[in-house]
Amino acid sequence: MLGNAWIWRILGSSPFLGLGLMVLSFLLVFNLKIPSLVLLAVLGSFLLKTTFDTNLLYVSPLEKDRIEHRHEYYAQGLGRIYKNRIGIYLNYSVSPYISRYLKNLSYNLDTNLYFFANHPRERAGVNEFEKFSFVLLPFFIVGLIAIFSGSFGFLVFYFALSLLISALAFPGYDLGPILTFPFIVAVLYLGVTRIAKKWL
Amino acid sequence: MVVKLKILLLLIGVLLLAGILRLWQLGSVPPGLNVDEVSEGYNAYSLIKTGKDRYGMAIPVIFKSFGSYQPPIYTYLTTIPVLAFGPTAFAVKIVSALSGIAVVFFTFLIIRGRLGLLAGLVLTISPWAIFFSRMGTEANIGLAIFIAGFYFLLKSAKETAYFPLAAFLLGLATHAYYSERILSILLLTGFVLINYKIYLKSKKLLFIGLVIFGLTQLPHLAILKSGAFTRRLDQVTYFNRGIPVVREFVSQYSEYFSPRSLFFEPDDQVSRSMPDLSVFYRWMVVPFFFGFAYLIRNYKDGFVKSLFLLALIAPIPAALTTDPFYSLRVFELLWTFSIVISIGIWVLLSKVKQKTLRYTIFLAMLFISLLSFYVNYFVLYKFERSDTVRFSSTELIKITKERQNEKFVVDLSRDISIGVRTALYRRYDPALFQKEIGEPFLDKYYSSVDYEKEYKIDNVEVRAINWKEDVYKDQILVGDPLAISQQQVDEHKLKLEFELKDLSEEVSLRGYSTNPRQKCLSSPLGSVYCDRLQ
Repeated sequence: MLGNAWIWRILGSSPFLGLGLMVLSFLLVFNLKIPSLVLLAVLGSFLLKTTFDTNLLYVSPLEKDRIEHRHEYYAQGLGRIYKNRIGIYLNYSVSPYISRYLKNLSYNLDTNLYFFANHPRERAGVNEFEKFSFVLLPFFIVGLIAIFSGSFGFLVFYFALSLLISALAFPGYDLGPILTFPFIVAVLYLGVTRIAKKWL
Repeated sequence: MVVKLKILLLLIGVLLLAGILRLWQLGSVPPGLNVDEVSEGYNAYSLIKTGKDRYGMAIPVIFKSFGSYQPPIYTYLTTIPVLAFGPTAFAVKIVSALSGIAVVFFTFLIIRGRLGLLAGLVLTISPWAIFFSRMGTEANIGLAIFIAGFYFLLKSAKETAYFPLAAFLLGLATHAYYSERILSILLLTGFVLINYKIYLKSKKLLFIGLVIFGLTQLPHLAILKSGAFTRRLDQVTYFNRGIPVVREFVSQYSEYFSPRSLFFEPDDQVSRSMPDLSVFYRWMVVPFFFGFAYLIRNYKDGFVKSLFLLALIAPIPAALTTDPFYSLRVFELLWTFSIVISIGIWVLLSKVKQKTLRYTIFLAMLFISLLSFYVNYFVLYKFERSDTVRFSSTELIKITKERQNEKFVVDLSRDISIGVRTALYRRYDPALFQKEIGEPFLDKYYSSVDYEKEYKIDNVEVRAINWKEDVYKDQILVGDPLAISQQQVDEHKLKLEFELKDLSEEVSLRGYSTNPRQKCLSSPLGSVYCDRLQ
C-alpha cells in the first residue's frame, strides 16, 4: 500500500485523504462492505467538493461551434429523424454533457493511467505521473483474473461506483482519480496472495 | 433438421446485413480515396494494362508506394474489380468489403450454432469491422486470410489433414499485411506447442505443413536484404530511439487492452477512425467483461485456449511500434474481442429468463448500435473527415478534365498522392506513366524509398509551385490556403478562378489564373519570361 508513488503524493497533499484511502483499502481487502461504502461516500464528497469538474455543466465556445456545425450535418444526413424537438434537444442539450462525462469515465478506466503515466495516450495539459510502478502490473493482472474467476462482486461494485464518482471530478486533478486507489491496492493484494499461494 | 434450417436462414440474414453495411454507398461514402487506396488502385490499373506496376516493375513482391511499401495481395486482387468496373472508388474498395463479409462467415464456421450466429452478428455490426471493410486496406484481406487459416488450424487439432492448408493460409496472410508476418509464425508455433500431443501423432503432416509455410516465405527471403522487407518496421518502431524498450513495449501492449481505447476514444489517427466512436460501441464494455469472466472460468477448453493464445500474441506487432493504439495493426485482436463480447452478450442474455424481454433487449441493442454507426459514419465521418480522403482533390480532377484546354499547376505539399490520384481518375495510360514518371525509380525499386515529386499528366502538372517562373506563364495555379497566400495573390496579380470546399464547408483548395502581362508591368525587375511576352 505504501510501495507506490501515488499514496505518498496524496499524503503529501492531503493527509486526511491519504489516511482515508489507506483505511478504505484495508476495508476492501477484508471485504467490509458497509464501512467501505460509508468511507467512499465521505471521501467522494470531500473530493467532489474541491475538484468537481465544472466543465461538465459548461459548453465552451469551440464546442458550441462544433454543435452548430453538427446541427447542419445532422439536418442534411438524417432529415426528419433529426429535425424534430427531440433530435435537436439531444444535440444541443444532452450530447455535449454526456460525452464529456463519458470521456472523464474512460480516462479512469485505462490501466496505463495507473502504471505508465497514461503513456502512450497522454492527455494535453494534464500532469500525468506513474501511480504504481509498472513492475507491479503482472500482480495486477493476476488479481484481475482472480476477480473474473471468483466471486468478488463487492470489489467490482466498489470499482464501478468509484469510477462513476471519479468521472464527476476534474480529469486534470493533480492527484488523479484517487477513489480507485483502494481498488487497485485490493487487486494487487489479490494478485500477490494468489501468486504466493501458487509458488510458495 | 428444423434447427439447422433455422440457423442457415439466420446465417444468410447475418451475411446479408454484413453485405448491406459494407457495400451500401461504398463508392460514395467516404467521398474519396485515401493515399494507400489511390496507390493500390492505380497499380492494379497499371497491372491490367501493362502487366507491370506504375514504376514498370513486373510482378512486384511488394509494391513501392510514397516512401514505403504495400504488401501485394490486395493490389493483385484489386485487378479483378478494376478490370470489371474500371478504376473507380468502388472497384478499389470492394476487395476489402468482401473480405469483411468473408470474416463474418469464417467466424460463424469457427464457433457454429447460435453462439456462432451471435459472434457473426457482433462482427457484422462492430464499428471497426464495418469501417475498415469500407476502406481499401490490405489489413482487411490480411484478417480474412488469417481467420480462414485459424479456422483450418482449429480443425487440424481434430483432423490433422487440415494442417498443411492452415499453414498455407497463414503463410499467405504474411503477404497480405505487415502484422501477419509476425502473427502467423507466433500462432503456428503456439498452437502446435499447445496441441503437440496431437501433432506428434502425425509428424508427416506436421512436416508437410511447416514446409508449405516455409515455401510461402520465399518471396520475403528474396527481398530480405534489400531494405524493402523491413522498411515499414524501421519507419514505425521505437528501437534505436534511446528509450527504455521494455517499458515502452509493455505500455504499448497494455494499451490494446484498455477499455478507454476499445470502447470510448477513437483511434488518434483521424483518417483511420470515426468522430466520437471507438472500435466498439460503448455499451459493449459490459459484455466484454462478462465474456472475459466466462472464458477465464472455462480456460481449459481447447477453443478458449486458442482464443487466449490469439489475444495474447495479437497486440505484439503493434506494440513494437510508436503509434498509440493503432487499430489497423490489431485486427486479429479486435476480432478476438468481438468473440469475447458475443460470449458476454450470450451470458448476459441467458440471465434474462423471459423470452420476449430477452429478444426485446437484443433487438433494442442492435437498433441502437446500427443507428449509432449510421450517425457517426454516414453523417459525421462523411462531413467532418472528407479531407482525409481528399474530397476536394477529386473535385479538382473533374475541373481539370472539363477545362482540357487550360494548363494547371497543382501544388502537392499537403497531398502527396494527388499526382497518382489524377492519373487514376483520369485513367492516364500506365505505359506513359511508367515511361515519364516511374522509370527513374525502377533500378532501386526495393532498395530505395525515394519517390516521384513531380508529375505531368495531360494538362496537369503536379509539383511545388515555382513562384519565379509559374506566374509568368498563362496557367492556373492550384493549392491550399497555405500554399498560396493572399499576399502572393496580390503580389503576382493572380485571379481567383474557383474555390473547392470539403464537405465540412472548409476551403481546402483554390485555383488562380495567372496574368503574366500585368505581372510583368508591375514587376520592376522584369523576367526573361517578360521579354518573351514582348
